[in-house]
Amino acid sequence: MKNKKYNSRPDFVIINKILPKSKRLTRAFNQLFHFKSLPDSKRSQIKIQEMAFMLVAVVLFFALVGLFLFSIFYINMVKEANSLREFKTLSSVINLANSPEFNCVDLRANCVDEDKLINLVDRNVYRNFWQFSSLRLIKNSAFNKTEDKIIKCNPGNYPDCDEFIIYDKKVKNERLIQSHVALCRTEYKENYYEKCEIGKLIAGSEVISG
Amino acid sequence: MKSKKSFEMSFSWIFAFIAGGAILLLALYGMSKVIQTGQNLGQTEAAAALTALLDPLETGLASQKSEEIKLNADTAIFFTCSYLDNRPFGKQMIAFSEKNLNNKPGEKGRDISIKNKYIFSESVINGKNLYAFSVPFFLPFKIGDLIILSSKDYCFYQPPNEIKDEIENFELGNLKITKDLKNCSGTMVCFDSERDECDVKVFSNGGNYNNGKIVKNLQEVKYRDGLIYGAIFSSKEIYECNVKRLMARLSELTLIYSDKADTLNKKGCSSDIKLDLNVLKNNANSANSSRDLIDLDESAKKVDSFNKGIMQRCKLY
Repeated sequence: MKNKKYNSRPDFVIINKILPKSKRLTRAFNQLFHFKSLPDSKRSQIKIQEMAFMLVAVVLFFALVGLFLFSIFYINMVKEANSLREFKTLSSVINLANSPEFNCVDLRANCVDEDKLINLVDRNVYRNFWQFSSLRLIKNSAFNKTEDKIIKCNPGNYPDCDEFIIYDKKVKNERLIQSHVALCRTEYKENYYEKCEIGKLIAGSEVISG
Repeated sequence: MKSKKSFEMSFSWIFAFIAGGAILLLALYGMSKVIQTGQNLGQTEAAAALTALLDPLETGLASQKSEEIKLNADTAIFFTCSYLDNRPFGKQMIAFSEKNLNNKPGEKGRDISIKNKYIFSESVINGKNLYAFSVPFFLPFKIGDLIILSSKDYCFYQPPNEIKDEIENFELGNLKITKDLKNCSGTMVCFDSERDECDVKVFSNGGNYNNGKIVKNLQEVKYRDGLIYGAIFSSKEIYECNVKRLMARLSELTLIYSDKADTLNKKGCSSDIKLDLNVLKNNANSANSSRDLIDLDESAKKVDSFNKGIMQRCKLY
């Protein structure tokens, strides 16, 4: 292999001019860091190392860009999923009062049969029938009451109660969507008659956190 | 000594080619995966949106409802049904796949489950326009709405007046009524006819189309009331599965009505309807296929006549 002529690096020359004599950079030190003066095999090794570092940097850069794009994509996907869930809950809750489990005698539109509803409370088979995370109905009497003063309905206290909890999956984060309905039941006072009042059908839609 | 014609490539070039090629391949693979996921997501969203679009088809007071759904692209929609999952109500699964440039279904989206609807359709529906209509199903009280979904043309050959009126009221572009089989294209539906040109043969029970049988692709199913449309428009597997799901809901509803009878009993409305409701529940639970619909008729009639005999404010439904 042909020996290359030693040439001092200009930066080292400048440094040596500044430094006191005793601390000046030696020829060996100079040679160690002088790229051109290295043998070909060493130079190739350093080039490969440089390229490898460059490749790692490029891959890391694209990985970071990919990660950034993925996070935007994921956030949008979560938003889309949540709005779709809400839309589905809203479209279902509007029609829920007309389903056979709730509807009044003679299939009146938007009317919930209270005498039927009381028997739906805690009927667990319906937890996975509707896609809501929770489903309840509050009577007119509960509209101005605080949460702790609302009386939950059960066959024992019916009809002197405020809220029918059909089921509650107790999810951490849910958005509630409500629809007003007529709530009717059979009463007896000298004669049988139908007593109707306004109620709120409240359905929960689970919110996925992004 | 170097030959003048020889081609010399330094190590750094070879290394750059190999590493660059590897990075390029990796990037292409990543991109294809991103596109695939995007497509999958789009199809899944479309399937979920369709289930929400079917909500307004709940009939409520109306005796029937219909709507035309226009999709953005030619799409294949896959339907499956299982009465064993999500006991006792069962469920249906729906998946979308938009067709690509070769007119072949592309990446299939994820299945979206439907638990509170009864969609009657072929196992795969292809097209850009979907036609949907719904009819309520009573046995003897309302059990649910039957949603019939189709995309191809149907030709009803000489239907009886009650069915002709209903089809005309749906006002759907793919349903046609004809008096001449040659003038019609699409699936031919014939009534009490054994003609070879008929793809679907509807047979009445002595001229009464409230119940009977339907023969389609050499397979026979029984129908009752609104289920006549379910049987015409859907595959046998989906029809039978949905009949089982409806029977499961009927069974749960008999329990609710039975409990309602107890609630009304406390208010002084006494009746012995619970016994008949129990018989209806047992018959619904033991129904294995559409063939058993006839057996339910008798117990349903008993419950209905009992309910009709009760004073208005003490009626169950």
